[in-house]
Amino acid sequence: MKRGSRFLKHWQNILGLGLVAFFFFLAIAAPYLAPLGESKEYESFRLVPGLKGGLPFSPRPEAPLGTVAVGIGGRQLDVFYTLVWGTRSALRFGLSAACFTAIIGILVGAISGFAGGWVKGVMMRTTDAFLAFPIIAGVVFFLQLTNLSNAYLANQGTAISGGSPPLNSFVGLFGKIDPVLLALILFSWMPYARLTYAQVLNIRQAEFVQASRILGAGSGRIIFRHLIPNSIAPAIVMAASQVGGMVLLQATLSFIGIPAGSEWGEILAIGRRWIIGPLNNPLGYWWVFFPITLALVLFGIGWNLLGDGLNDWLNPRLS
Amino acid sequence: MPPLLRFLIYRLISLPITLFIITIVLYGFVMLTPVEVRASLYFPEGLNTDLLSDEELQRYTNMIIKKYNLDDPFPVQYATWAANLLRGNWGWSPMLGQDVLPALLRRTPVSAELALYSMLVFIPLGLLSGVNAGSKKDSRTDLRFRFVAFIGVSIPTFILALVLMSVFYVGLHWFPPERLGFHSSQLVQSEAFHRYTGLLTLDGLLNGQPMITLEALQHLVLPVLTVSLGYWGLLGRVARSAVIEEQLKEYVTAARARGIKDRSLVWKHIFRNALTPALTSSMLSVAALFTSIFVVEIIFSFRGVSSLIVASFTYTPDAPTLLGFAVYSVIVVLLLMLVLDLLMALLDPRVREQVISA
Repeated sequence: MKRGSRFLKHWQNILGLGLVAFFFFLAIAAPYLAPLGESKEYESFRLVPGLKGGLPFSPRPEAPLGTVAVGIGGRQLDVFYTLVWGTRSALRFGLSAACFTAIIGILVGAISGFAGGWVKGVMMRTTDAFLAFPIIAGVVFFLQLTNLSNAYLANQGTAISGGSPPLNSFVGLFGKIDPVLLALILFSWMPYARLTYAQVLNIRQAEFVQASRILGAGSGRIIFRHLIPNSIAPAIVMAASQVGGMVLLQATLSFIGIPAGSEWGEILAIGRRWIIGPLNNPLGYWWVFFPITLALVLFGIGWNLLGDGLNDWLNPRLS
Repeated sequence: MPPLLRFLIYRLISLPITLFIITIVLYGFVMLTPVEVRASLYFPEGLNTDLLSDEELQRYTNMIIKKYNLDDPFPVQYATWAANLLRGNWGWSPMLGQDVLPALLRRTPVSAELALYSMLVFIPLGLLSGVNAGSKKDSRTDLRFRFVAFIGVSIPTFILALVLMSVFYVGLHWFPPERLGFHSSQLVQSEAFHRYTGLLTLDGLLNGQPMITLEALQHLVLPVLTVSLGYWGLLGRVARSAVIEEQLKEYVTAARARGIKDRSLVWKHIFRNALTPALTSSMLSVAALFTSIFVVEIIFSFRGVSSLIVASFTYTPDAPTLLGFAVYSVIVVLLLMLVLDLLMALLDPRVREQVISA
């Protein structure tokens, strides 16, 4: 209980926790806050149900919560609906990206720290090599390679010979996973590996580890029962602060036209020409971008504060 | 051998090793695609896939598969591809209608100019404000810095870009997007304008056309500001905490006891020692800087290297472009890291020795 009260002593921690809890609430309560239409089927975007006179058509965004969809003759998309339902996909994406990167990084770091020698050499070299890889290149590479493979596989009816069997293909292996998520995970686990590696080096020669080794524990048991539980704290902190960053990156990619699947980013991209209002009133259409932007920024800040708070909480010596 | 030279040699050896690992991983992923995708890596120059019928293309592909042994195991295929890469033959891209390597190199100066000016802005400013704030921990200056830096780090790049554009371009007409206005870009593309470096701000001066330089600078203000704000905050925060940590050390107390003025203590002693952690952290974020430069380029319609990304989402992409773009980005990031590494070794003898012992 003492630890809990120490966590709640700082207003930043409470704010972080509150923001994150708020987004979880939005995600859970989405069906009540923004009910689905009559079809009861979920869609990423929804036309505004009935503006003036019941028609969702207008050449410019209508208050309070509409964005003009490009190219479909002045249809209005419901911003509030996307804001609420987008929370679900944002949380899903952010949490799974942060979790998987953390797991990969921790495993790589712990194994190379424990094994030492050439294993360490190869693994840490690989880690450094991956650090030089910009995420945007990775995402484009993965996404388009998947698309290309799909296109060729679809054409396979016309293929004469030499086509590789579908089982051995990109799609067969990764088809079920979102390529953007996969690329983000594959190209952002490196900081976790470095962090855990440094931690494991510190405790590798500790008495309790040696005692367990003398008692006959195998490598696997030492790594999973002793090394990882005792060196995992910084990685958890990093994962918590990364959740917001991952969602932000996803929204950015969606915004510049890469199909990364962020509904928040996509609706901002749809409404981008209305971000700048009419000349006499630059903020004339603020509702087109302001609520979503605020959600994105608060999402990032919330997870960042939560991570900082966890850091102080788990490492009392620093504070 | 002097330590600095040894350090340089060590780094120059590790560069190809890193590149080797990354390209193996990349080609490994390409290996998982259907063989036709790999065959497109060896399309001859000038091939237009749209003009070929499906059957002709298939026959052609089969020929390439035979010729380049694309049914062989991974190491053989990788070696063939890597040898081509080293010879500067990065493949022909039907999407761009061009060889991939020249296409990348031609667009490099645009991105390089943006990156260069951003780094010139945020590295000095970040270091100065971070050290300044850290040396006056918990003062009003420090609190103000922390607040602004936090906001700078939290705002999404693309939102910042749009807001800046709406205020300074649409509202005030000060800083338009793209690299140059219409008339100037006509002039730059004409025969009379010689491209020495590809950087418009320099070429303008070299051609005796200072107006071009001024206009290019005017167009650079907003993108540079957008890129810099986040990295300024990041670097400043690292510099600040490095200074705070450094101040706890005993030599600082000793120096203070000897009566050295606070100001010269901070800038002459603490600053140099805090520089290494700050530079290390910026080295780790070079790859991220690359990403955000591309995003900003796309939003402000600079047709730099990022235009290949845009193209690949507009037209049917091809494997040579995708692979070439990935390899190119890794090489650029590695070179930038090398420069930062050398800078660090020059400034800090501890770094030189550390690498050699490791």
